[in-house]
Amino acid sequence: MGSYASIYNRIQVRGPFDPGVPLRHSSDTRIQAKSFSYWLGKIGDPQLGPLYLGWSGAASLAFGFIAIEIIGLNMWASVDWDPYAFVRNLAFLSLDPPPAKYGLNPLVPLGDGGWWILAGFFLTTSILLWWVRSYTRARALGMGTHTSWAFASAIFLYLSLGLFRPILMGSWSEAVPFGIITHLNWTASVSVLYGNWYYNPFHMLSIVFLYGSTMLFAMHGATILAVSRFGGEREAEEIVDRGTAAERGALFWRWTMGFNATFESIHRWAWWFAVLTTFTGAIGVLLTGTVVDNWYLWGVKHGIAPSYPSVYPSFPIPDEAARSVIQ
Amino acid sequence: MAMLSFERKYRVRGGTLIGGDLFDFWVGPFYVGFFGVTAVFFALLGSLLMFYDISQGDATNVFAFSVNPPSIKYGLGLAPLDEGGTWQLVTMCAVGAFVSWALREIEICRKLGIGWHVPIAYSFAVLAYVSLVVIRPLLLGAWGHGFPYGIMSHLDWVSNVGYQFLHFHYNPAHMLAVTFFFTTTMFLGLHAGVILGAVNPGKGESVKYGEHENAYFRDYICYSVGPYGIHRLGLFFALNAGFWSAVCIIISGPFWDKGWPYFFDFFLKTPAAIGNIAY
Amino acid sequence: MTRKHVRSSPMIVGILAIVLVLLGLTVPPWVLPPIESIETGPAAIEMVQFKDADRQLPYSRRPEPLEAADNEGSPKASEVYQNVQVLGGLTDAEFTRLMLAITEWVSPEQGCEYCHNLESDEGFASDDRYTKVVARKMLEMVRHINSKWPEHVAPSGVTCYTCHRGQNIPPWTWYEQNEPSSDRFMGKRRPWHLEAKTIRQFFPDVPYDKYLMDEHASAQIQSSDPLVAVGGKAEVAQEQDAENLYLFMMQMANSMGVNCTYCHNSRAFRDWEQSTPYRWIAYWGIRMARDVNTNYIEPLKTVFPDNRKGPLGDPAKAHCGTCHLGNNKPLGGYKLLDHYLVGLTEDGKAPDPGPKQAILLGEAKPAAVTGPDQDAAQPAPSAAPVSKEAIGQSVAPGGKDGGAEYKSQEQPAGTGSEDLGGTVQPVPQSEDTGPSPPPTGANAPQGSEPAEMSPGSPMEPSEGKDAVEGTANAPSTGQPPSNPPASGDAATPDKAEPADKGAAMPEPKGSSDSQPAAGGDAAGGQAAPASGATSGSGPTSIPANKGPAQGTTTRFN
Repeated sequence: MGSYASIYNRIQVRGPFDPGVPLRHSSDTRIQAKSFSYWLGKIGDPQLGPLYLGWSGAASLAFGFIAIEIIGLNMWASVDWDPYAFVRNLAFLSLDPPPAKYGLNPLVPLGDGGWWILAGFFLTTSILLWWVRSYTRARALGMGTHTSWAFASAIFLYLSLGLFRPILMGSWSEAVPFGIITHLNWTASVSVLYGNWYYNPFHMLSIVFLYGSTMLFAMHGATILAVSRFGGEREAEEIVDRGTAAERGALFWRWTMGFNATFESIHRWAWWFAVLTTFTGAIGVLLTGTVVDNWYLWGVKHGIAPSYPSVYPSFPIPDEAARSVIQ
Repeated sequence: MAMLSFERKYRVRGGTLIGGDLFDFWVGPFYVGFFGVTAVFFALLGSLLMFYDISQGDATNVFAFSVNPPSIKYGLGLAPLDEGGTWQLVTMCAVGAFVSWALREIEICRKLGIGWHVPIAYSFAVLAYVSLVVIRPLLLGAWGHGFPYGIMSHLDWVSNVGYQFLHFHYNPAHMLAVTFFFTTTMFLGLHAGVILGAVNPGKGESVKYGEHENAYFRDYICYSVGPYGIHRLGLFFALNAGFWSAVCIIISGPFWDKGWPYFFDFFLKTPAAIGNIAY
Repeated sequence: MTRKHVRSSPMIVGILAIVLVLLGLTVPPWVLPPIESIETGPAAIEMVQFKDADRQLPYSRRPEPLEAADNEGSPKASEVYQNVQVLGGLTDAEFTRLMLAITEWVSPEQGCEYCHNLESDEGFASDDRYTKVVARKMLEMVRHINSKWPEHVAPSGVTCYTCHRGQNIPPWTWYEQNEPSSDRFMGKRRPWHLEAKTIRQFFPDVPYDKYLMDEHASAQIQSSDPLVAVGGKAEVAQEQDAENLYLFMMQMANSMGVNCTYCHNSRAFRDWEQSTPYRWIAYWGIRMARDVNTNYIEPLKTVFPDNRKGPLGDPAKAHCGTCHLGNNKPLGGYKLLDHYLVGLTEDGKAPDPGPKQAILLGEAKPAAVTGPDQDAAQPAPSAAPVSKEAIGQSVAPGGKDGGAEYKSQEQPAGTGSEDLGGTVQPVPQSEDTGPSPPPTGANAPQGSEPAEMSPGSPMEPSEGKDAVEGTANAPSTGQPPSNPPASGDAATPDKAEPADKGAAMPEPKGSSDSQPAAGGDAAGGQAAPASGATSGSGPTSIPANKGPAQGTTTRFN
């Protein structure tokens, strides 16, 4: 004691390997991969493993592997299997959804987006199986399944982008491509295409919750670190049996802003902020193109667009442009 | 007195940074202190100035309210009140209030005998704000480069700044910042989920503690960073989100004047292009 | 874990981190303040162009115009030479001067023989070399641009040098490409992706094909209704079309050294009411590029040899950057054309700045400027008089049916000021629109011209009626001088318009069928530019007036 570091562990405590609390069903067995990592120990617990795999985990990894392979090999193929070009252009490589002419047809030629459908299928299956894992592991330990439902909210956003909205719009081509730069291009284009994404109120909410989540974690993480000299990081214990760490943490915020959460309720705030980030984002995605066509004009319609002075004289709009605007 | 049951024993004198016992008291739940007074002064003055500026406009929808910065023609000078001068005063008040708030947090930390993590974290948020309205305008040579204080108008500003660089997603610091934001939120969801899951295990179950939290994440993803580590990790990622946001806007303009996609010209000319037959 | 491990790995990681940071700071081409910034919109929302004060643009040398030709007693070129199809009406002296200039602009290394096969029996008249056939078509194109596209190219106009910049092939061009598909990397041939030297080249050319040919995709990708009609489908374009348009606009902005907010308020890209007048200029520029690509360059497909063609067998075509090359005004508005008006225009007159001026008029100058390049002589910018209606329009209030209402402007806004300084000089260029210093060190020959549309040279208002001075084949009283004023002694070449300019080509004046082309009509009865022979300051007087010229407004009604 006497010295504690906030950024990294100067002293690593290496106890014996912790095999984990027993699982409910004796048939469940963990893979006792025992390992300690010096670098992980710098920021947290050095122990790696054990791991529970189970059927859902194994299947999830297999499906995920297939999805990554499909995406990666397609990208590699697009540079004619040139390993150098693959690495150099990795950011720009992409596996695109089928073009609009196929609509929602699931049977698309592989080279024309069929691979995208397959990759999407495998990736989605993998993610859903991973979700199953998050649920069964919590139950196996006799814990609540809050993590699973937070994960479900993120999956909802993912599926809204890649599955639900394309179905609502009637075309796979509406979905996001797999690619580093191409998904950014997709994001930028969609914002322009539907007027102005900033005027999408659900995007506003999502950003508020995203920033709010970051702010909450900064507040919460900083508070816990600040009271860790009183054992504040043992949150569950402090929730059940409030100690001076929880009291000081609460009073800090009470004195600062007149209000405080408790050690339990801060996690409820946090959970909702994290969940609502993706949930409101997904609502915004699902409304775009299905209900609202132009978010800027939606904003104008509801009077929220501010006005700015004109700095130029008005000028006649070119005829062709004017006509298409009026129609 | 709005005091919690255990609060009285924590309300002690001292720990102030300035002024000794001056203002060393509480009002309701709030601790005051010297910096509480300055924070209230700046916040009040700034708010009144904002109300004044809005009252001079004709917006009637709260979303359309805006306190606008001056035109860049005023450079780094003061602008007339109704042409952005109010914005300049509001900005001064805001910076004053934010800094007061951070110092007041330090005083409270000292009073409670806890670490200064919160004021340090908060100062990153202040840094991001100051980058937007002070540092970048200074580097670009005009206060007019600050963002307007309005719900929709600041979005219009963000939109235009993004398109000033043609495709802002190509800004490398922006990529980093967004990644940190998303990852922080994911960590927050995971952390909050496991804590709530441990203490709300459902009917008939006993409350779980640290070893179950560790076991859950080890079973689930083969690694549990631990109760202390997750807060360090979360704080680190959250602060990085703020820090790289500040970097991404400071480099946009003062240190890069073209579209961000075209920034990567250099990548095609560096040793990454070994094998590039044209070179 | 050994003790050694604990000690060395943090150091290795630390050193790697420092190296990474140093690389990040030194390798990318960061610029440093001061940055010049130009406000192109209302304060507060950062419609601002940035330009590093030190940034050097490629190919920015300005050639010195050649000595004026001595037209006295010089016979016509068609009488001296065989097979002069386009420039036959020029005097021999003027013709030779122009040929020398073109050589300097296009093939300074190869000389005359780049186009002329002097070994053949016909000598200069020979059409053996494909380059000569191309050059002829390009001459027609330049003359066409200067005379028919004043909306975009006035007042400086274009010459061969605008695109060629001393190169045989203009440095920035594009070829047709296949759409990107899974067996091609971004629509390029292999090993193209290893050859791109810039991000400009790295991006696919497909969007150019979509928007810079006569048969083009619609750029109206956004919906004009906030909501999707009940039971209807979204009224927006396909996602891929949006990406193509985005890329096209991005390359366009980059090729002019500006950003999206030069023309648009990005919160509503489609809304003309919130756009700057520069969008109007760009609008005609896109149409000009379509005209040029479709009617002048594409027909040369059969003329070019294979090694000059792209992967799909098309000649290199023009986009915005072909002329602009990173500058919002090619060569900073250098008025090289003024010295070669006879050969490089159809009617011997500089492009009529009237239409552009009418749009830009006064207030079109940047709202505010910071940076060293600010022209002190330029009157302090003042906020434009803002009418309530203008504010209302600028946010396009919802109409009765919930949709936004867009009114085409019917009359010019009151400008309130006679002062017309600095009309189309939004991003500060070098004030000197003369040639590059090295050749003679002479001042810009036409720099003092009062009508020049650049900062610090206020225009003299002329009578409103003259403002509609035509751009088309006005009967000329004589040959306008090449650069010094000279009395007309030869007939202006009255070149007929290219025959292929049929229905396929949009009338550059706008696609309004109900209008007579304003240029031809208005100019028909007018005398040739009076000032051509009267003033030493320049061959033409550029009219300035208040508000859009009559001819300009009517054509859009």
